[in-house]
Amino acid sequence: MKKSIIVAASAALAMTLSLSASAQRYYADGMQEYAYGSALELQGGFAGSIYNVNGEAGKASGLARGGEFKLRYTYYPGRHWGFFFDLTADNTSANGLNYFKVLNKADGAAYRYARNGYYGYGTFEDASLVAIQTGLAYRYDFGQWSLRPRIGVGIGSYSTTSDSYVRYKRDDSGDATFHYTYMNNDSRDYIEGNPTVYSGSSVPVLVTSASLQLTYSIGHHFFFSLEAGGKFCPTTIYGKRVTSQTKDAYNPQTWVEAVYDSELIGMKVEDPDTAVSENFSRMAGSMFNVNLGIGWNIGWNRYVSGKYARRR
Amino acid sequence: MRKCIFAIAALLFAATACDSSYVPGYDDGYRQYYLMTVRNTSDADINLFIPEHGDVDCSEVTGALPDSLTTALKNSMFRVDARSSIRIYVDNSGIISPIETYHPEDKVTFYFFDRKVLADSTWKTIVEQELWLKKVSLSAGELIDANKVLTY
Repeated sequence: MKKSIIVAASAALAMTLSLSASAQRYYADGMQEYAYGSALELQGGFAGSIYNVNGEAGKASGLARGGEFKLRYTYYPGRHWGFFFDLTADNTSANGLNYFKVLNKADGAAYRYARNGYYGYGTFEDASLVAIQTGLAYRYDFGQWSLRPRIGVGIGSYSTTSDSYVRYKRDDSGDATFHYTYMNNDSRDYIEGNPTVYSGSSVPVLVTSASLQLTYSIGHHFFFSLEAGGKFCPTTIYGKRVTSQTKDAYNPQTWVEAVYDSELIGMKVEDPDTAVSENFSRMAGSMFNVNLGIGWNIGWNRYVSGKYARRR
Repeated sequence: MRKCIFAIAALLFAATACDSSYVPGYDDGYRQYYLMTVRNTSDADINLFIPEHGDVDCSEVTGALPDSLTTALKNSMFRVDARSSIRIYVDNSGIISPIETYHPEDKVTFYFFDRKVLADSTWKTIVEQELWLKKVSLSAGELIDANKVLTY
C-alpha cells in the first residue's frame, strides 16, 4: 500500500517537473516564458435557458434561470492554440410568478394559476445538464490580460422535471383543473399519493459549445476569469400532460376527520376519476452561461503575444 | 492491515443492510392527528368522557369506574387535572376509539365528571342520577369555530 502511494506520488512529481521543464523552450531569440503548458480552472456562475410552452392560445417563451459549475483543464502546446477538457453541471429552473406569466400568455389569459398548495411546493420546469467536453482553445495575451475563445463538443446527460399546479377559469365558467406533466418518460407513474413528478431518468445528449473567456493574471500562475458561452444539446423531450378536474379536499367520512381535516376547507385536490391525458414532445436543450472563475497556470505557460511579445 | 480494512467494511455493510432506518424514505405509515384541546379552568380534577355513537350501553358495566370500563370506554375517558389542559389525538393504528364512530354531521356529547364521583359510583348510578358536572353537545363545525378547544 505504502509502495503504491510512493510510486504514484513520484509519478505525479515527475510529470509536473517534466511539464515545467519542457515549458522553458528555447527559441532563436532566447528563452520564451509561458510558451506552452497547462491551466486548471474552476468556474461558477449564472446559467439560463429559453423554454417554450404550448398553450391553448399559442406558444410562449420564458427564461429559466439557474447556475453552472465548471472544472476545466486546458493544454497549450503552442503560442495560441490549445485544447481543453471540461466537466460542467448546469441547472435551470422556471418557477414562481415568471413561470405563470408565460403560462398565462400561452393560454390566452384564460386561467388563474396557483401552486398546488395541498401537495407541496416546487419548481415547475427544471432542466439539468451534466456534460464532459473536449475542444479547441485559442488565446491571445496582452499584458496581464488574455482573451480565450473556445469551441467544444462532448456528451452529456440531460434531465427535466415538472411540478403540478391548479388552474381556475377566470370567467368562473368551469371548475378548477389540476394540471401536471410527466417529462422525459411518458410511462412514469407518479409517486404514491403525490402527483408531483420527479424525473428519475435522463437522456444522453450530444453537446456542442462555444465560449469567450477573458482572464487576468496575477503573477505567473494565478488568474481570474470572466466567461460567457452557450451550450447546445438538442434533444426531444417526451411527456404526458394530464389534466383533471378538481374536487373539494375537505371530504370527511367521520366526525373526527371533519375536525382534524378542517384546514382543508376551501381547498381543492385532484379528482383522478376525471383525468384526461395527452402525449407530447418538444425540443429542448440549449443553455447559456456567464461565469466567474479562478485558475492556475501549471508551469510557464502564459505566452506573451502581439506587441507585448517584443518587449521581452 | 488489509484484513482490518475488510473487516471494518464488512461490518459497515452489515450494519447498513440490517438497519431499516437506512432505507431511504422509510415510513411505517403511523400517523397521529390532532383533534382538540380540553381545558380545565376549575380547581377540581375532572374526567372527560366521550360515549360511543348512539345510546351508552350500561349493561356491560358494573362496579366503580374507571377500572370496570370496557376497553372502548377507557379509550374515551380523558383525565384533566385542575387548572390544566390536555391535547387529544387520534391515530391510524386501527384501534377505533368511540369518537371515531360518529358521522360527520353528528353532534358529539362530551361529559365532564368529577373524578371522585367516578371512582365512588357505578356507571348505572351515574347514568340514572346524571352525576356529571356538565354535558356539551357539539358538531364538528362548532368545535372548529371554537378553535378546537373545549373548556370546562
